[in-house]
Amino acid sequence: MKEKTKRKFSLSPLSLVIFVILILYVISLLVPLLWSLLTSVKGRLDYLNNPFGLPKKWLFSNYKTAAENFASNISTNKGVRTVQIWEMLLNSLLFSLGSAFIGTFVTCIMAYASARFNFFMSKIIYGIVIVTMILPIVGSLPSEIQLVKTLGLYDSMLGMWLMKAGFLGMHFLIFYGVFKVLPKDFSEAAYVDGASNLAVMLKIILPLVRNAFFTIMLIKFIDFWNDYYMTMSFMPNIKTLAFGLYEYSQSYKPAISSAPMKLAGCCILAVPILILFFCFHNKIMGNVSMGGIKE
Amino acid sequence: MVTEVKKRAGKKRTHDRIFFACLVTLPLIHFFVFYICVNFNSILLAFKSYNSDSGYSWAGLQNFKNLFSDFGKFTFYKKALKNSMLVFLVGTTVSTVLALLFSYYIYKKASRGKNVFKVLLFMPSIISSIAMATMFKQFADSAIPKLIQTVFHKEVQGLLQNPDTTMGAIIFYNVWIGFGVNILLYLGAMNNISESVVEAAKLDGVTFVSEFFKITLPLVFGTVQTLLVVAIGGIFINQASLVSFFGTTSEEEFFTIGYWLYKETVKNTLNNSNAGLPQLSAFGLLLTFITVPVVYLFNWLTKKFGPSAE
Repeated sequence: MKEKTKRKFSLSPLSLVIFVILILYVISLLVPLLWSLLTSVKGRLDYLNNPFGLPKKWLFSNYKTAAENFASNISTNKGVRTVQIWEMLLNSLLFSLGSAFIGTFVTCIMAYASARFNFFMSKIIYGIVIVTMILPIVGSLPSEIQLVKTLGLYDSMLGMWLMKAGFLGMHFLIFYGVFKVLPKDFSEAAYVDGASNLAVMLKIILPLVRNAFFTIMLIKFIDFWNDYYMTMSFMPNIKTLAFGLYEYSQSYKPAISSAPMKLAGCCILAVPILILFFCFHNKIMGNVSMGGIKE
Repeated sequence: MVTEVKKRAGKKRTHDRIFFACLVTLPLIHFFVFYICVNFNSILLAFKSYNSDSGYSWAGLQNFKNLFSDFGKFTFYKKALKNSMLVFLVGTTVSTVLALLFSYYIYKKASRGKNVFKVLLFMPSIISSIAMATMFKQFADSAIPKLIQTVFHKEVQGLLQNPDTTMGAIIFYNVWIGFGVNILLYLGAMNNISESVVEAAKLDGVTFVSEFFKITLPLVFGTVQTLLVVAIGGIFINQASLVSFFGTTSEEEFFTIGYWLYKETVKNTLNNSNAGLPQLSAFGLLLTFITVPVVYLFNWLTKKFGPSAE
């Protein structure tokens, strides 16, 4: 019956039109990406004469030139210092991994406390998350910067980790959903055997939600890896790769002013994260849906 | 015996309370500092002024008065407001319609290619906005003029270089890049529709189009409503990728409110000048007062008059 109806639907001209537009949209997403990858290994003249074809000579040295030109100056107590791409990479890893881990851990713990302990405060915490999600606050950045400076957290990696140690947002709701449907049998058996709350949480509950934890941490990691607003607003002297690319893309230096060089810079930031995405896309996209995470 | 059990339960309850308090205290302090204090400070800042010699002082409603006077004096406020509304209206309308159509098509038809579509549609969200915007900028400003020159033998400016096409290109980019994730969310909601409802409708002879309007749309309307509320809440926050395209040096013509607020805040911070921050906070507060009732009104209206799942 279902197959028959499907076949009947297949003849609909409207569905054909939607299909064509969908395919065109997907192609429009792929073409600039593939074009960027190809262009990033072309020479300046090769690109001007042949902007769409394959490179005459594959200039992978563009990536070396781009990497060298990611360098950026920062002001320190001892004067001006140049930050090279490797330091940016290290900063990116520290910022993304640290923020992703601490953010995921705090969200997970809060969701666990709120979902598994039936106290009045549990409902308040859930309410806080919902209200802050639907309350549109505009223009609090000046105040946030002022507060971060007052607390001595401005321009500090530790400060950024602390800032990201919050529990608000959609990920809390995902963890909350996971903890709500997790059977209580294991934890109750452990309590009968005399296990403490901490032991139950660390040895039984957290291992059970490790998939959800990993998925959310991965999503957060990708967000932080790509984020250059944080560096721009809160840590201007701790340059990450994303911020390096921002400066690189706005730069008028002759060595990197051509389209192939600009695109080589983009690929330096985008390719590692695309590889990560293709390795773990089943985890990222298979596990998370609007309703929660499949364990 | 009963007393012993009660005692044990009471002890467990006390342990639970202590453990719960240990878990939630630090995150709640974090919430207090980075949400409550930040927003409270934002409200206070809106009523203060800054002087490099004496620091912050109470200014009453002066920032709001300056704001209204600036609104008449400087044209960029009106342009930014117009652009923000344009990005929101065109972006949200086109994104919502296309995302619903595409997700419905994938839900009904593309059972085999579903995963391929999902991966490809999610891909732009994985790549950094600065990398995506730079790729688009190079494509629009360098490749497209060359393509037109080759095919039509006509010299044209890049889409982001020509002032006549820049705003259109910015809106196109934001729609093009933005609705892939919405497709996935709608698709997730559609996949949750009970198979028995769909089968019953099919027995009643429902068509591809009527199934969409009578079954699918009412059942995923909660997700549509949520995404629209998020879009309305973001009208004055949306920078429309202007920072990624132009850094902090965009032409005034293309400003959005979100871009202007961000650019001015960063400029003040990097120059270690706090003088502009109070007026920016006042503007933010004013916009929050406009946005909050609009969001709640929209929520109420769509709940009252939107398609019902029943």
